[in-house]
Amino acid sequence: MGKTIKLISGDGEMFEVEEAVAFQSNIIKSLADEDNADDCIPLPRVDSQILSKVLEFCRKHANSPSVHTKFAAIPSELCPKHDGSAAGASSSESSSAHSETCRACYDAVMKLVQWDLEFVKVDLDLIHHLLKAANYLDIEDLMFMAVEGAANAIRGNNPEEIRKLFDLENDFTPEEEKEILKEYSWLDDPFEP
Amino acid sequence: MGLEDFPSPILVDILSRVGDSTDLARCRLTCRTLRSLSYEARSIRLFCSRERALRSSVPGTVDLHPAFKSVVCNLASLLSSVHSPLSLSLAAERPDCVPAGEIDDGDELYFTDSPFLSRWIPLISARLQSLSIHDYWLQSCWRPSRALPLISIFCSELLNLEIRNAWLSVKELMPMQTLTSLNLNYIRLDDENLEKVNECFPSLQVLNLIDVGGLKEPKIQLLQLRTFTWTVSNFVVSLTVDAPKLVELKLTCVEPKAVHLQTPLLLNLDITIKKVEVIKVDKLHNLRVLRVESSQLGNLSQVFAESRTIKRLEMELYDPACVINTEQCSVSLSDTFPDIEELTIGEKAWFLLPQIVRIKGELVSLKKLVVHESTTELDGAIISSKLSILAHSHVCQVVMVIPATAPIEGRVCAISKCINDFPNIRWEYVTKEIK
Repeated sequence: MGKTIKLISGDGEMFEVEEAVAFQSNIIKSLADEDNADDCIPLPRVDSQILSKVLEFCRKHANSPSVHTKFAAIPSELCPKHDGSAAGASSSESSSAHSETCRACYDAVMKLVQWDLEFVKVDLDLIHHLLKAANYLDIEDLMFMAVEGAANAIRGNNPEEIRKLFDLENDFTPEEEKEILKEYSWLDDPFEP
Repeated sequence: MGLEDFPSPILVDILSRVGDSTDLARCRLTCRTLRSLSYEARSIRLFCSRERALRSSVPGTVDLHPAFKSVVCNLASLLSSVHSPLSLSLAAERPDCVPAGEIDDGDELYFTDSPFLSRWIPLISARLQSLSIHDYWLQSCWRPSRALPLISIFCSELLNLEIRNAWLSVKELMPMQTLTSLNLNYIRLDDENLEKVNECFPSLQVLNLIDVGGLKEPKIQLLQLRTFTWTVSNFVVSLTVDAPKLVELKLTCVEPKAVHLQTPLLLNLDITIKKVEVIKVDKLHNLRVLRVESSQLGNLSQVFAESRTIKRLEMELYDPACVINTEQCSVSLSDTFPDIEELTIGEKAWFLLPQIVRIKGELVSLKKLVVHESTTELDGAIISSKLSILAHSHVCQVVMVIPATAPIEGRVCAISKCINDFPNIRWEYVTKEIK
């Protein structure tokens, strides 16, 4: 077990995780860098239930290339991720800074994405919390997948269903509504309400 | 959980990911915030199914079912008031099968029609970073389109362009200095030697020319090109690739008279070519991965023999029926590719090993062997005898790719024979679905 980081959730629970897991969050990474003696990082805006979900995600992503990585088709021997002898390809380098990887990395990320898609197949309330946490903690991959989860909830639903999902209020005035419906009718087929 | 908890940039992210124009239109009907943010979605896809197109062409229904092309124009006018970058994709449903010679003289799905494009592209051209048009072949195949010149005039800042299923003219095509990625798929191109392509797309880094017909002696000459996939399905007199920064090339052709590659930095080459009279390849100093599929495996291997840097090699036979004499397919691995570490043998080549495809010599560096079995009747003795050619190399790992339909008993038998005959090798079995 490598060097660990202690995180304290908003409701006072302590989570001890490896650096590679915690440093998926750019915020935690920068806080850990500037902290001196204490390796305990408080996260008042994330409660323990959400933090544990976030850490589950980070654990899975700890040693993989980011889903944002550009994939060049270079052979794996030349990929900084695989080639142990490549100078400067240190393991502490953020995976999202890794701009060119090989097919093997691409395959690994695709597998990871499958896992992620299952991970975000949850109720919108949880997705909402994950989005907030990913935004607050600056975790690129979690943000990416939580956005996908929210987008997936919208796809194929009619406006009333979308309003219910996101707790939205129909705040159009009657005139606005008329105008929009007219605009909608020449934008697309009228939906069946 | 309310909308106020989501900052606008995140909502725009979500709407951009939703992407589909119908879903976005429904979001617009929900509340004010989503309505205004929907115009800022960075990526929008408009898809028209055949059924949708037919619905709006029924006379008298134009109010209920606006024509898809009007929908596109109306949406563009709404999007023009926003300034953030936009990726737009327009696609017609593909017909199930395209009977040869059949055409459709309708217009409702003819997206590369210049009058249609000139109605809406100028409205959003300042925003467009990426444009993709999948046209409807039955309506586009019989008339040349001025889509490319039009796009070049209006979208001078475009980064990515993709067009599928169209007949494209290049007359009066203007330079597009910022275009880094071009994808032409199933296109009849009136630029027989690709002169206009080279002249007007000088900054291309990624190029895909898949089933692009109308070419005679095409030559790609692009200084910034890094990745190139070229599938030539009809006859060409010659094929030339002159790309000093090219790193990856995948070339598939049938029987050109000549092929010329000036690609000194190439790392990864995948070449499928039935037969060729003349092939000239400028020395490849960095080539690491090579895949060759041909009826002239022997001759082609010689062409790449100088590249001592090749570490991974894959060989496959193009069309066993074309093989006239065994010398064509005889590869002396120890002479031609002495330093390879990994060797993959394709189905047809493996089947005809060692009679037609002969692999001579010992490979000192070879560590991993991958073979593709095509037959479902696995015979351990035959497999073993084929492998004995390579047994005296220092191979430590063999991966056998077996058809998924091969019966279990045959598999088990073959596997145990292999393990017995080659005890020092680590075996791995992968099943492959038959396409």
